[in-house]
Amino acid sequence: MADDPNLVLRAELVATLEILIPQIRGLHALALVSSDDLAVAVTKQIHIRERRRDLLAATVHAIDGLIQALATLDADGYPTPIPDAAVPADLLTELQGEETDMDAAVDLFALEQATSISVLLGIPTEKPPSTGV
Amino acid sequence: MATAFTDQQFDATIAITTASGAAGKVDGAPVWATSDATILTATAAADGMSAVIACVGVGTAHVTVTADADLSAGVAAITGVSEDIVVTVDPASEASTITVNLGPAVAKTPPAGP
Repeated sequence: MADDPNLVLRAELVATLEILIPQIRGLHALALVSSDDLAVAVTKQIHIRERRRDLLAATVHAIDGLIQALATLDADGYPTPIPDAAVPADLLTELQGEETDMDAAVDLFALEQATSISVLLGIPTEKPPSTGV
Repeated sequence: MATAFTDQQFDATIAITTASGAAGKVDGAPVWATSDATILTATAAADGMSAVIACVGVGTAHVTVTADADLSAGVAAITGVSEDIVVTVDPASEASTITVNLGPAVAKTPPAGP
């Protein structure tokens, strides 16, 4: 498993979740015993905090995904460069033939020559003052 | 046709295109000139893709830009011509009044006797 690339961030996110979760539990309990008017205020706080909880959880989950992806990349050999491929002589000859054909096709095209120049004038402005003595 | 006063200048740029309308390339820096250097002068940027056109005298003139469209050893000159530029004197800078200032009154010198 790859290392967590940002342990400080993860710790901060988890610590915030640990504060929010009991608050949300308590708010749900409070909503059950509140008057109608108070229940409205409590429910609003439940929604605000549950949204924040969900966003924090999604971020932690994304970091977990990043760590998993890094581990997979590491298992694939990264950062060692992928070596050039070695092929048998007959395949190499075929490849070189393809290259020759493509060069021949590319040579069929030439750069299109410029044919016109448009002179575009800006808006006239005052000339800068002369610096002569 | 563009108009300007003798105390003004233009920033000018060029667009180089191919027959199909795509942006074209030229060999070297395009060369700028004016049809009458007593009316307009052109000071080109180092790459020749822009210039400052200064109005220096009254009259009508235009700007020409020439470049080599042949990117190999040959030369295929192409030329662009600006619209005519009519240069006049700014009426605000022309004299419009003469103020006559009198000195203090003094006694006339008596005429010399015989």
